Amino acid sequence: MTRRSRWTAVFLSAFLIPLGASLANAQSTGAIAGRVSEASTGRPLESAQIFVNDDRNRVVRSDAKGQYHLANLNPGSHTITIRLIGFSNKSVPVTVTAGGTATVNVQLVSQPLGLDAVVVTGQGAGIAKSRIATPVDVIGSEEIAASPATRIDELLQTKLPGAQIRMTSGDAGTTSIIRTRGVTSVSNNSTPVIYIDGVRVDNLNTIATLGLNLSGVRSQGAATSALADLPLDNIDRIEFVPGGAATTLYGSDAANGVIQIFTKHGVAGRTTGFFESRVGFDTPQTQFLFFKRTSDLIYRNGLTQGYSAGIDGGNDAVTYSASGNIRANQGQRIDGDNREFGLQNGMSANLGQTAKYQGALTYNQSDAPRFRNGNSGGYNALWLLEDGRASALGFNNNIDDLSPTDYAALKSFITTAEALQNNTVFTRSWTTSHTLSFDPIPSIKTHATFGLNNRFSKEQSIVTNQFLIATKSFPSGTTNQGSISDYERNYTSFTADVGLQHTGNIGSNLSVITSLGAQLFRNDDAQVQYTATNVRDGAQTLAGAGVSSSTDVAYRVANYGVFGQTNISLLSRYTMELGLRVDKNTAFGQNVGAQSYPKIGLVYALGDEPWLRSHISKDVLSELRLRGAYGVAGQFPAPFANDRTIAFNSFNTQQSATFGQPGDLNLKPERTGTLEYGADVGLFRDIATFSIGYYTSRTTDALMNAPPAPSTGLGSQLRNVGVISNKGAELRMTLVPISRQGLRLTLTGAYNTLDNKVLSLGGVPPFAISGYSASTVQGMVQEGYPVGYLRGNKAIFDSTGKITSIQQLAYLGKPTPDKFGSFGATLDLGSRLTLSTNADYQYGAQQQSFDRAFRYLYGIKGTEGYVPAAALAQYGGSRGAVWQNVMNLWVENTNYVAFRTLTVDYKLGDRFLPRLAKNTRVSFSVTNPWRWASSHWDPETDLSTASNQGGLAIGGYNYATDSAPRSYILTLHFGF
Amino acid sequence: MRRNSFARASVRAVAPMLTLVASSLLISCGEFKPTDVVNPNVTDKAFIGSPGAGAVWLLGTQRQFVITLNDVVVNTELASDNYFNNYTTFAQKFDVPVLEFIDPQVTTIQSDIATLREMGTFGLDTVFAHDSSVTPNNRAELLFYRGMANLFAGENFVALPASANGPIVTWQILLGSAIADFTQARSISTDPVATQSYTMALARAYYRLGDKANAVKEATALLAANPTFIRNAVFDPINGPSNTMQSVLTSSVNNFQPLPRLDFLDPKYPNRGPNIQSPIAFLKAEEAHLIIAEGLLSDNNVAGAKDRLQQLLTLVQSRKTESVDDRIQLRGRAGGKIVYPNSSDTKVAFAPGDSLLSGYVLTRSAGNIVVPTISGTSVTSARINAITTVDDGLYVLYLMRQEIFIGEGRRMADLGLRMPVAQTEILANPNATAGAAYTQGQIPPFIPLAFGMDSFTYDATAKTAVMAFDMNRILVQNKTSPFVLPFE
Repeated sequence: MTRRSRWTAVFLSAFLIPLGASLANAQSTGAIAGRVSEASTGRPLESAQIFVNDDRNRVVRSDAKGQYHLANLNPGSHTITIRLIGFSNKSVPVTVTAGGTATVNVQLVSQPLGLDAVVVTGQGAGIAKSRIATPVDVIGSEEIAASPATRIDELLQTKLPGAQIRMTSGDAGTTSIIRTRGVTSVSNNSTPVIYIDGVRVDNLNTIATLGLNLSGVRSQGAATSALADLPLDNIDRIEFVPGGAATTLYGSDAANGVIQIFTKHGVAGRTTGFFESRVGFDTPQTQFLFFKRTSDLIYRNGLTQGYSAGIDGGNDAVTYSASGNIRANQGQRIDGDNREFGLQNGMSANLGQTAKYQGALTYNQSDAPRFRNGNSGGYNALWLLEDGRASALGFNNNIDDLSPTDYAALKSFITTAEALQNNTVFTRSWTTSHTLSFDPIPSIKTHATFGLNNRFSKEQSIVTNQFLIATKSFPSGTTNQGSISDYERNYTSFTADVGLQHTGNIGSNLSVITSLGAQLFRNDDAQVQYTATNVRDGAQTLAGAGVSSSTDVAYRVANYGVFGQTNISLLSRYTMELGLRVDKNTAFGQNVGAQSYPKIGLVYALGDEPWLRSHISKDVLSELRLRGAYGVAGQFPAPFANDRTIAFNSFNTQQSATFGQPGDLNLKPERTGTLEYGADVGLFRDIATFSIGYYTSRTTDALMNAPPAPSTGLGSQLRNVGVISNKGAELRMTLVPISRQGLRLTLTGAYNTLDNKVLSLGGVPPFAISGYSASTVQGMVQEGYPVGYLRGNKAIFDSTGKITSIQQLAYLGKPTPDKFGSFGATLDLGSRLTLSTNADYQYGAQQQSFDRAFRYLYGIKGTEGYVPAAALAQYGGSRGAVWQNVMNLWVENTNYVAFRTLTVDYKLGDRFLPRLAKNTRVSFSVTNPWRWASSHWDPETDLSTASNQGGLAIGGYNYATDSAPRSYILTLHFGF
Repeated sequence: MRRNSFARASVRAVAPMLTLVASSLLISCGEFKPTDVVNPNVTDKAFIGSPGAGAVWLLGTQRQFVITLNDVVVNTELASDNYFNNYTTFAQKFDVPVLEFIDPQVTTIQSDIATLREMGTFGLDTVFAHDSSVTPNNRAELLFYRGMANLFAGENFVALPASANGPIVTWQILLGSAIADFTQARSISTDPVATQSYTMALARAYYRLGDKANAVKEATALLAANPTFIRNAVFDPINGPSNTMQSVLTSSVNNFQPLPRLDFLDPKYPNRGPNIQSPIAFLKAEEAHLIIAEGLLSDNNVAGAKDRLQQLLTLVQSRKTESVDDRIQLRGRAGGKIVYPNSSDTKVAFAPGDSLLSGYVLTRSAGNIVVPTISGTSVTSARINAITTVDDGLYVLYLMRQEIFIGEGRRMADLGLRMPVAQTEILANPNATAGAAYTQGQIPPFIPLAFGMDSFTYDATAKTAVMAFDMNRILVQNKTSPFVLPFE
C-alpha cells in the first residue's frame, strides 16, 4: 500500500466509521492468537491488552472468551505483553513465521494491589503504579459496565476506597458531595477536577450563580450537577488520584484530586458489537418517612428503561469504537419523568509506525424535573407533608389521621400541585479530545493533546396562575401573577497540553523515566437569566409577557504552566520521584507571579530484597512495598475575585451604581502540602492484600470569604488568610479466601479516618459557610474546630427535663465523619455466574434536622416527647418559643451503613444463543437494597449547602429532601 | 520489522504535521490569546471620573436607601406590638422581644445602614469629586441619604461605629451626625421640595434626641412649607428591591399578622398589580403635627395639643384609602402559629378588663376591604375632644402615632427598644470591645417579655379578642423613663 492511500484511509476513517478493511499484506506476515484466562479459576479474561514489543501502536484486546488475535506481524522473534487491571503483567517470547499463526495462551495471576497497572494521571505520561509513591485507583471497563450506576459519582461511590461520595438528594441529576482526604478549602468545592482523555471538563457540583433556587437559602438539594451528565458508556478506564503529592503536576487546580476518564478508541480485530437493555423500576425508600401516607401522596414505583448499543473494531492502521445510549426513567416522584441520551465515539489511527492519532467525541443530553425542597417555602410537598406544614394551607397536618374525605381533599391538592409544578432542567454537553502521539525512537514518547468541552444547561421554572391558585397563593380568578424564569449557563473549556517522556537505563540496574510538559486550560462560563412576570397560562416563552427582565454573569479563567518529573528506579527496588510544576493563573492578583509546586516520592520494594527472601518466601509474604511522598497542590481562587469593582443594578429602568467587590491584588491559590507514607502488603500469594497509609496535609493561604465588620458597609472579600489541617489513616484490604477452579470469593474493605481542623483564620472572625442563622443553626469556620461544624443554642437539662441553662453559639456537631469507608464481596461461581455486593459507611458525623424540629414546632402528634415537657412548660407551653433554644435536640449522630448494590450476573453460554450472539449476559441488580442509620432521619438527604457557585458543600442538614430511591434493574446484554 | 526505515518515513510524514500544529498553536496563542482574560465587570478605576458617574452613584444610593429601609421596617415592626411573625423566616426572636448581638437581622440591619452611610461618604468625597456635572442639589440629596443612615442608626441602635471600622459612638452622637448632614443638605440645596424633606428629617432627628425646641421649630417650618408634605420611598417592581413589607402583609400564609386592634389598618401596602409596588411614606407631615402636639403636652398645654391633634386628624382623614381584595389572607385558620380573628363582628379590648369595642377587625373573606395606605387612625374627633389631662392626651397621641406610622418601622423606637452592636463588628473592628455595654440590646423594664406585646386571647365563638397589654397606656405610665417619650 502506498503512503498516499494509507493517508487517504486514515483521513476517511477519521470521519466515517470504518468497516474494518484490511490494509496489510497478510502473505508476508504472520500472526499470534490465543486465549487469556485467570490462573486460579480458569475463567476467561476480557479486555486484557496484548502489546507487541511494548509498542503502544500495536495493541489488541481479548474478547469475552478471553481470545485475541494479532495479525500482520513481521516474521521473527517478538515479545507479547499482556496487561489487565487487577492482574500481574505477563510477557511471553514468541516466534512468528510468515503465513503462520503462533498460539500463545496466557494465564494471568490476580494482583489486587494492581501494581503493574500503567497510569497516566498525575504523571505526565504512562508509568507503572509500582513506581509511584502515591495511591492511584484504576477502575476498568468491565467493572464500569457491570455497575448499575447511572452517573459517575454514583459509580465511584464504592469504587474509590479513600473517597466519600454522597448524593445530596434522590432526584435525577442533582448535586453530590465528594470528599477525599478531608476538607482542604472553605471557599472551594471539594469535587475533584475531571478530565476526559486529557481534556478538562465542567465539574460544577453546586448551584450556578444564575440558576433555579428551589431550595431556599443555602440548601442545595435541587441544584443540578455537571457530574450527572458525564458519559458512562464506552469507557476504557477511570483513574483517580487524591490531592497532594499525587496531583502536584496539575498545579493550581488539583488540591481535591483528579478523576480522569479514558474512553475507548477501538481494538484491532473483528468488528464486535453489543446491544444492552436495562429495565426496572425505582421505588421510594420509605424507611425514614414519618407519615405512612406521604409515600402514597408523592411517590410511586417509576419504570426505568435504558438501551445502549455499540460497535468496536478496526485493523492495524485504524480502530474505532462507537456507542449510543438512551434512558427514560419515570422516577420515584409522581411527575418525576426524566430522560437521558448519549453518543460516544473514539478512533485511533497509526500514522506510520511511530505516530498515532486518537480522537474522541462524547455527547450527552438530559431532561429532568426539579421539585421544591429544603427551605424553599411556598409549595414544597415534603415540607408540607413530612414537616407538618400542611396546616398552613388549611389541612390537618396529622395526615395519617385524616378521614377518607379529608384525605381525598389533601390528595387532590397534592396531585394537582405536583402536576402543575413545572421546574425543569435540560443539559447538553459534549467533549472532544485529539491526541497526536509520536515516538521518534523507542525511548522517547511524545504527545500533544487538545480538546474542548462544552456544557449547556437551561433551567426553567414556569409558574402559572393555575398553580398559584391551586396552591392557595392567590385567589381564584387571578390572571396576572404567572411567571417564567429561565437560566442558561454555557460553559466551554479548552485544554491543550504537550508532553515528552524519556525512558532510559543506565547500566542494567538504574532506570530513569523523565517527563516534561506544558499545559494550558481556559474556562469560559457565561450565564444569563431572563424572567417574565404577568405571563398568560400556557405560555412557554417570554414573548408577550407583561414584564420581562434579564441579567447575566461571566467567569473566565486561564491557567497555564510547565512541569517536569523524573522517576529513578535502582534495582527495581529503590524508586525516587521528583517533580515540579510552575503555574500562572489569571485569577491571581496582579502582585502575584508564577506559583511553583514541588513533589518528592520514595518507594522501597522491600519485598524484592534478596535478603528478605532468604527469610520469608513469596508464598507467605508475596508483596511488601513501602512508600512515602510529599507534594504540594493548589486551588486557584474564583475568577475575578482579585479585582476591585463597582456593581451596577437596574433601578427603575436606570443605571445605579454601588460598591462591588473590595478586591485583593495579592490573591493567590491556596496551597495544600501533603506528607504521606504507607505500605502495600501481600500475604499468602496475595490471598490477603493490604494497603496502609497515613497522610497529613496542611492547607496554607487558605481562601476565606469572611465577612468584614458591618460598619464597612462592604461585602465579603476572598483573601488568603487561613490554615487548615487534615489528617487521616487509609486502610484498604482485599481478601480472596477461596480461589479455585470454578469458585472465587473476593472480599474488599476500606477504612479511613479523618481529623479535619481549621488551625488559623488569620485574624478573621469566625464566619458561617452553611446553615441558616445564628439563632437556629449554622455551619461555622472557626479556629480549632472542624470546617462547617454545627453551631447553635445548646440547652442543658436537669434530671426532670427542665432547662438549667442555654449555651449560645455552642458546638452541636460536625458534618464530616471521623471514620468512613466501604466494603464489598464478589463471588464467582463457575465461569458464568457472579454475585456481588458493596456498601459504604460512616461514623462520627452529625446532622441537624429541620424536618424533626418542624414536626415538633407544628405540633405533629407523636412528637410530644421530642422536647421534655418540663422544658416546654418553662416557655409557657409554646413550642414556638422553645424550639430554637434546644437546637441540640435536633442534632443527631449520622452513623450509617448503606448497601449500594446487590448484583447477580450470569453469562449465557453461546449454545443457548442465536448464531451471531456472543458475550451475552443477564444481570439483576438492586440499588440501595438496605441500610441502617443511627439518626431518626435519612442521613444521606444531606443538603449540600454550597452557598455560591463552586463553593464548599459541607452538608450537615436534613431538610425536606427526597431520599435516594431503591432501584431494581434487569440488564440483558447481547454481544455479537 | 523495518523500524528504522519506518521511523524515518514517519518522521518525514509527521514532522510537517507537527510543525503545522505547533505553528497553529503559536499563531493561535498570539491571535486568540487564550490567557487573555478580561473582567466583564467595571472596576472602580474605570468608574470614577467616567461621564455621569455622580448621577449613577446617587441613584445607587437611593436604591441602597430602599434596601436599608426595607430591613429596618420589616424587623422593627416585628420587635414592636404592631406585627407578629406568624410564618416567615424573618427575625424569629424580635417578637419576643429578644435583641441579641448574634442575631443575623441585627447584623444585616447595621450592615445595610453602614453601606448607605459609606455610599454617601464615598459618593461625596470620591465620585462627586471627579464629576463636574454634579450639582449642589445632587450633593444635598447624597447628604440627606447619609443623614438617613445616621438617623436609622440613632433611632434603632444602642450605639454603632460612625465610620468604617471606626470607634463605636452613642446613639445621641449618631443622631447628631444625622442632624449635621440634614442641616448641610438644606444649606446647599436650591430645590424647595427636597428641602422640605430635610426639614422634616431634622424635626424627626431632634425629636428622638429630645430637643423639643428644635424639633418643634423644624416641624412648624415643615407645615408652613407644605401642610400635606409626603416623601415616598419608591421601589422597583421589576428588578427590585421590592417592598418587603408589602409581600409579608399580602401573602396567603398569614406571614405578618397585626395585633387585632390594628387589623383595620392592614394591609397598608396592598398588591396593586405585578408592575407596581406600594411606596412607603417614610417622611410625612403627620409627624410634624405629632411632634408639635407632644411638645404642647410636655408644656401642659392640653388645649393646644387637642387643637393640634384635630388638625392632624383632618390631615389623616384627607389621606388616600384603597379598596383591596384581601381574601387570600387566611386569618381565622390554623395557618400560622396563632389564629387571628377574621370578621368585623369581632370586638376587641385594648387590655384585659377594658371595654369591648367594634370596628377594629375587618371581614376579609367576603369581598374588598377599604384600608388607608398612607395614614389611618381609629381615633375620632370626639375622642380628642374628650381629652382632659396631659396623660390622656399623650395616650391618644401615642395611639395615633402607632396607627399612623404602622408599617413604617417607627414603633420599636417609640417603645424604647434598641438593637446592640453585632458580634461580627465586635470581632472584626479593632475599635470595638468585647463585653462592652453596647453588645446588649436595650429593652426597657416595662416591656412585657415572652411575646407579651403580641399576645391576645381570642374567643372565636364569642367573637372577642382581648389584648394582653395596651402598650400605649404602659408608655404613658412610664413617660418619665429615659427610654421613651423624649420630651417628658
